[in-house]
Amino acid sequence: MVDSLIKLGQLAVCLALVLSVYAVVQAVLSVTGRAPARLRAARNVLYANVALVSFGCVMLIWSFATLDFSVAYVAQNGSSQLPMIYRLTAMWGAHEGSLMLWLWYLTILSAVAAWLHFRDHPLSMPWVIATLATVQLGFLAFIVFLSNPFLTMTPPLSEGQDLNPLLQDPGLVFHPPVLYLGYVGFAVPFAFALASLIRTQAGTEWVRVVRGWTLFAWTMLTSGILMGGFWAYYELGWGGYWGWDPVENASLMPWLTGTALLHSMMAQDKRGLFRTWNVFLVVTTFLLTLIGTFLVRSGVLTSVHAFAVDPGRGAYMLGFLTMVMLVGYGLIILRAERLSADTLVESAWSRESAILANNVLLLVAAATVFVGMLYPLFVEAVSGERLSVGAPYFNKVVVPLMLAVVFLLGIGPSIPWRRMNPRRLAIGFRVPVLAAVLALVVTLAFGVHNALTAVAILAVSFAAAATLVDVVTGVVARQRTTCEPLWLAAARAFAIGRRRYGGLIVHFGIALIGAGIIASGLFQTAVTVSLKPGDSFELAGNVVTLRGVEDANGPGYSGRAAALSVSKDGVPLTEMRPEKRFYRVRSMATTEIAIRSSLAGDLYMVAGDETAEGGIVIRGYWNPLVNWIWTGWLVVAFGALLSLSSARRKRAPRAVPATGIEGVPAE
Amino acid sequence: MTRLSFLLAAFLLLTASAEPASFRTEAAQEETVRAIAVKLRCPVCQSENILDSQSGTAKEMMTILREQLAEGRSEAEIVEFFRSRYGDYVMLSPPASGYGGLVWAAPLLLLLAGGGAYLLLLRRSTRASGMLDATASGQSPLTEQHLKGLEL
Repeated sequence: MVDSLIKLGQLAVCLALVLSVYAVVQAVLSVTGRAPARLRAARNVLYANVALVSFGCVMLIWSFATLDFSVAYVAQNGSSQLPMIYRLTAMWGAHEGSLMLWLWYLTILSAVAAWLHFRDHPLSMPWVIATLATVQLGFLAFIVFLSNPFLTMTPPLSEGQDLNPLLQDPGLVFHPPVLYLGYVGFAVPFAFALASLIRTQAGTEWVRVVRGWTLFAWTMLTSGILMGGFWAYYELGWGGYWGWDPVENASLMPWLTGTALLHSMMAQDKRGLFRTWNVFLVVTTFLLTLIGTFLVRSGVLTSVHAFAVDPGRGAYMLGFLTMVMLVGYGLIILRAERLSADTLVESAWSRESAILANNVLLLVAAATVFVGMLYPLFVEAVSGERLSVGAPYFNKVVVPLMLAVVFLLGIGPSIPWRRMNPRRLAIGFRVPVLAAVLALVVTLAFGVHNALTAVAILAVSFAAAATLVDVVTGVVARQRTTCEPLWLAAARAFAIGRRRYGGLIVHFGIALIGAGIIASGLFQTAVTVSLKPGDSFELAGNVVTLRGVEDANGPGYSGRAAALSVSKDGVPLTEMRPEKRFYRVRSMATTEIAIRSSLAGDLYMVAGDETAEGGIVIRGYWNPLVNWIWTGWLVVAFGALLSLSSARRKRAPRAVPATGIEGVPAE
Repeated sequence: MTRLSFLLAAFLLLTASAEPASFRTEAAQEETVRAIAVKLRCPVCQSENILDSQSGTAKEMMTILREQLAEGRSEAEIVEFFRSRYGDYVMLSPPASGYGGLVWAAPLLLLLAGGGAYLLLLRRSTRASGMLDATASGQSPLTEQHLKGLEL
């Protein structure tokens, strides 16, 4: 019975594969044949595929929940000792299942896009649907033929190999689903961009449609990346949250180009500028999300030799990427002539020019990460030599670029479109400049001996102050004219100018994150001590005492915990219990970190090896202001949602009869 | 960013190492260990440095690193020792010579190209709009001024 259920899931996914071919054909034919029925059929496939793929995913999750070890994927990534919450989320714990999650999102977002825009954009719709269905087809074919999570084994195993212990954490419940939503969210802008290219209609219309989608995808991507950082921070136990790992880099690249896109789309929306550039950014961002999805879990990034383990998968991925690249960039080159803007950047002192500079910096950063990520592969393929491009390299080259972006982030929103008087701009920045200098002086007292740190502090405090001044000026101006109480003036100003204030709030959140990164990165204190019970050590003014080492067993693992008590100025503060765990099924050791958070920073304890005298090695970190990063995320999310809430279009009255879609001049 | 702090610590300690060795406390010694360890890649892990890695190889390398530091070897010597054993692969920051040189040049070249494209587009664009202005009003003092500013 159970076996037949998983087979039904596979059948559903195979059916979705066939239907997606049908949808592409119908959508394309609907253009030449002017046949609305064909287009509706194609759209209905998108709806049907949601149901089919959802069914497949639910069957897979069900197999995990019921521990059906006759399913190979479940046997590889589940075990009877796995708690239920991780059984339900183990689907995206490995390669095959995470592609299923990608596909699941894609079908859902495709259907939502078709449902939202079908009436208002009838002329683009055939190409939008054809593109989305083609991408679905690409993933479905890969899943069915090369990376099938529904495969069964006879005889079934009596016990599975368990989920990777590092993934047995609440982080698994949130991080991959949110990050993937960010990735897949860019598929809809990509589809609209292709449609506008094919129709040679890269005016402002598609940008308006796509703005909400892009902002949504960007917000999810940002959240997913930060959640991943938070997860790494409390799970991996090296006191940091970002290691410039290829996996992290793969998610950073679409974030960088997506951020560039959000800004340059504004220039097209308001001034009709950068048309070709915007489609280029959309195509590039989507490609990078594909690269992120494909390459990360395939193991290619560690070595080219991993490619040879499964040449079929590797070749397919490369083929799919190449096809998307050829179609996307090819169309841009074909249409570039007709996309040229009819307006110009009038002055170097203008919003347009600032956006251009922002784009250049973000793109250079993205390209640098790309080169750094793939360069070792290239060298190995060319010469057989192996070299590493790791954290020390990226910190040196990407951080300065990002500081320039942060500096621009403070200036940009104050510069008007078209042109301005630079002297007036300088006068407007008196307060932020003063604040930045003040912040630098204060931190100099803490001992900054490095030029890059000084520049970082200047840039971040300047950006934060400039953003605050912008917000306060707006709110106060409103309060003066309306004589409302300040809070009401603020609320109304935010409600009316959602896009502007949303953007400013996001900027402020980014500045907070920047402050957290600088402080926790540059002023971190770390100690490694070997303690016997009763011994203590000092860390950032706190006295940490080892009371003893105890057993701490849990489901699927045996653990040892160090009981630490923390006091400050003789006053007991808290107890901390960092653990070491040993997962039996995979015979793998992990560490469970103990963290005590405060606004000023985190005390962060990692348990090391036990010593012969009944003691233990403890690595303790003091991470100042690290909470500001997570707080900054909340601010960014709030700002993005505020901005997103203005994206809802006023729906055109339903003047169109449901039977026909021709002659609707909505575009 | 955390690793940046290690880099900075390394920098600070390098400048501080001119002091007599007897002034070095155990904590400072440990900082040096960390500063060097974050630059060395664990050869058997995905992409971890030997400080963070829990693998046996990384722990062995940490022991060797501590021993060599205690013997009074310099950072460059220690890095060179591991490099001769495991090749360039062990250095998380690629060497500036040979193949590694290209990857260091890449960001600079990219920035030059990007900056060049920005200036070029701005110049072409502002000049064109300046000409539009000139035909409209007979003069374009603002744009001229900015062009000069750009060419500085």
